[in-house]
Amino acid sequence: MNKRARISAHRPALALLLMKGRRHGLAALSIFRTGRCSALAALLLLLPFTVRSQSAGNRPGLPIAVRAQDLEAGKLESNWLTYYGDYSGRRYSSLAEITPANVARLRLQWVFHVRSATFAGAAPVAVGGIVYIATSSDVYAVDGRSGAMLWRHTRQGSGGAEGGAAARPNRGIAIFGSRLYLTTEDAHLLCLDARSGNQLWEVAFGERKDGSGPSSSPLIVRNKVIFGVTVSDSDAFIAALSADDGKQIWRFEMDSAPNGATPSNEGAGQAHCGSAVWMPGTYDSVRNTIYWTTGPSDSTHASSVQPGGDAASGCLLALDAEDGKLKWAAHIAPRSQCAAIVPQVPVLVNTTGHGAPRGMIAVADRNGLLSVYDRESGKLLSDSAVNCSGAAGPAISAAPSYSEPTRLFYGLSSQGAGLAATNGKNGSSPAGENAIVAYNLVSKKIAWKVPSTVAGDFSSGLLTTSTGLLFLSDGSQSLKAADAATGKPLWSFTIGQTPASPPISYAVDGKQFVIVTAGKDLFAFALP
Amino acid sequence: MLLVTGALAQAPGKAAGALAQAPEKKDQPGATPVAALFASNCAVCHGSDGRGGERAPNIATDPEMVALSDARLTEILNKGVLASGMPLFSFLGDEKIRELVDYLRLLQGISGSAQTQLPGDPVAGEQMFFGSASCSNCHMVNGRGGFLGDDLTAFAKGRSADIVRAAIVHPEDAPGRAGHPVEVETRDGATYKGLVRSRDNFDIVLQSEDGAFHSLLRDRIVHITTSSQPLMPQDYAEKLSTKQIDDLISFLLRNAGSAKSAPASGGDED
Repeated sequence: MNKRARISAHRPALALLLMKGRRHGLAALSIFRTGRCSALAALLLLLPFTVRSQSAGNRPGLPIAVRAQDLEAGKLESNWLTYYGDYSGRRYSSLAEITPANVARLRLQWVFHVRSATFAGAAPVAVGGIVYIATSSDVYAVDGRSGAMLWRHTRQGSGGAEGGAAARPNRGIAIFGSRLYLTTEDAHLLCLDARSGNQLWEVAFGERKDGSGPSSSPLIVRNKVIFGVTVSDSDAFIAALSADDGKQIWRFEMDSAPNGATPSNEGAGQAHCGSAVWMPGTYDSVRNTIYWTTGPSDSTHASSVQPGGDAASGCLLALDAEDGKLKWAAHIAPRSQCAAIVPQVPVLVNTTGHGAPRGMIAVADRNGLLSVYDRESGKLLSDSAVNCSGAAGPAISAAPSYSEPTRLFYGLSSQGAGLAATNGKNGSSPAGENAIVAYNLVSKKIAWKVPSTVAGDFSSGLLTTSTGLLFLSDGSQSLKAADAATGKPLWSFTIGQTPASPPISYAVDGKQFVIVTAGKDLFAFALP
Repeated sequence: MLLVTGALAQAPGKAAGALAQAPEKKDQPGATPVAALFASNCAVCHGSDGRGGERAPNIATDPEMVALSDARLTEILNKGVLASGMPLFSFLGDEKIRELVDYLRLLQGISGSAQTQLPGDPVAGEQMFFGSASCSNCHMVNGRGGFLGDDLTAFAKGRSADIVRAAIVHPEDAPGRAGHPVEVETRDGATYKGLVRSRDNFDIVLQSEDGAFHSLLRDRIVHITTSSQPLMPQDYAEKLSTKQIDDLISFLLRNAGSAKSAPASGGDED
C-alpha cells in the first residue's frame, strides 16, 4: 500500500494534465500563458523530490536505481544485477519459491521474440521486474511479468544488421543507477537511460580492428565501468571508465603483465599473460580487488595454436579496483600442453578448507581444467587434471555455478574435456564423454556426475538457487532442472532450440521466474 | 508505433496524410498514379498510410524502416523478404519500383533533397530547446533532457525543415510515441497515472513521470481514463514566433546532421 500511496500522493503533475491543468493556478510556474507547459514545469520541479523520497528501490513500481551497496549486498533477492548475478560469479539466486518439490510444475509464461539479430551469448539483467537484454544491434526493456516490450534501442552497426554488427555477439549489459552500459563491436561504450532506452552518451575506447573488439559484459565497480577487449596480444587491455561520462580512469595494458615471478607460475617463465579478455571479471568488495581471466587472442583462437605456445596461455589477474594496479597474476595452465585456453569467469567462493577459512577463486576453462586459487595471495590451491583431447570443449558461455546450500561447484564437461572430471593426476575423463559434474572444492572430490547423451556444444550455462535446484542446458534443445545435491533430473522443457546463454532467475511481486535465451527468443518460466 | 504506444485517441490513418502534405500538396496520397500503384500493391498488407496492417509491419514511421537506404528498399522490392512473407515485386520493373520508393519517402515525411540551408539560428534554438520552450522537459537531445517523450537527437535526419516544423506545430500528426496521459484505477482502490508503454487485451504497462513502470493485469483494472490532451503542447504555433520556431528547427536539423544512432523506439516490434 505504501508504494501506491506514494504514487498517488507525490505525482500530481499528470493528474493536473488529466484535469486539463489550465485552471489550476500554476501561474507562478508558468512559462507560457497556457497551463500544460506549467504542469510540465511542475513535473520537473517535483522530480528531485521524487528521487530523494524513494526508499530502497529496485522493486516493481519504483524507479530503477541500482546503487553500489545493492551490487555489493551479496544477496540478490528479486533481482539479477550483473552478468552472473552478483559480484561473485556464482550464478546463484537466493530466491526460494521454486523448489525441488514443485519444480515439476514449472510452466512457460511468455516468449519474447525479436526480429533483428539473435540473442547469441546475450546475458540479461533483471531489476525491479524489468528484464534488460541486448543483441548485437539492439537493447530491449521487457516487462518481466508479461514479456511485453517497453522500449527498444537500435544502433546502426558499422557493418549493417546482417554484417559486422550481427556477427559480433553482445554478451551482456551492466546496470548502475538508472543507466545501462554496454560495449559495441566497433569499440564504443554506450550509456543508455534505463527508463526510455535513450542514448545518454557514447565514447570510443579503442581502434576497431578486423575480428577484434570487446564482447564481454562490463562490470560496474563503484562508479567505474570495467571491461576487457579481445584484440591481439600486444593491444589487449582492461579499462575502467567513469560511469558518469565515460572518461578513462585507468587502463591495465596486457603488455604490463609479468613474465614469470608469480606465486603459482611454476615452470612457465617464458609465457606471459598478455592475452585477450573474453569474460567479465568478478569483484571482492572487502579487498577492493577485481579478478579477471585472460584467454588467447582473437587471432590465435583458431585450432592452429601450437600446444604450449605463449598465445595459448590463460591467466588469472588480481587488480586493485581503484587504480588498476596488478596485485598478482597466475597462469591458469602453467603446465599446459593444450591448445587455446579459454577460462571462464573467476568464481569467488567463501568456504573453509585447507585448515582455515579462506576466500577461494575457482576458474574453469574449456580444456577441462578446474583451478582453485587463494584469493589473497594467488597461490594455486588445487587443480584437476587437464585432458587435452577436448580442444573443442564447452563454449565459453557455458558458465559454471556455485551453490551455497550444497557447497558444490557445477560445470559441464563435454567431448572429453572433463571439467573436474578427474581428481588430481589420477586419471582423465574418457574421450567423448559428456557430463554434468558437481565438484567439492574443499575435498577435491566429485560429488556426482551425470553423463549426458547429447554430443552438442554446451552453449548455455548453469544456475543454482537457494532451494537446492540446478538449472541447466546440456546441449539439447531444452532447459532442465536437477536436484543440486544428487543430480537427479526433476524437470525438462523443450524449447526447440539450443539455449544461447545461461539461465537467470528473478522475481516480480513474489513470483519467481527463470528465463533463458535461444535463437531470437527469450523464454520465461514460473509456477502456475 | 504511435498508435500502439500512446496516442490512444488518435484516428488511424489521419497522420501520414497531413504530414505528407507539408512538402508538396499536389502529391497527397491517392491523387496520383504512384499512389494507385501503392494502393494496389502495398496497401493491402502495409495499410494505405504505410503504418502497418495485420499482415505486414509499419513502413512509414518505424525508425528502422525510415533508416533504410533507397538501395536497400529497392532491393527489398525486387527480391522480397520471403521468410517474413513479403513477396517480390520485380515484375513491376525498375521505373515503377523507383516511384514506389519515392512515394514511401513521402509517406515517411522525408524529402528527397538534403537540407543544406538552416531557416534560423541553431544556437538560439538550442537555448530555447533546453530553456524557455521547455522541450527538454520531455525530450532528449544528445543525452540531455527528459525521457517521457521521444529522443529527438536524430529526429530531423532526412527530414526537411517543413516536416520538422509540422511536427512542432501539429504534433498530433508527427511520428513518435508521445501519448496522452492515462489514469488507471484498480480493484483494490489504487490509482496509477502515466503514459502507456505497452497494452493488449490482458496487460497494460504504464510509465509514471518518475520513470517507474507499472505492469497491470486487465482483470485488476476498474477504469481507464485517457486525457483528451497529449503531453506534447499543441499550441506552439501561437506561443512561439515564426523566428523562434525557425531557430528550434535549425537546432534539430544541425544536430541531426551529426547524430549517429537511431532513436529509441517504444511499442511493439511489429
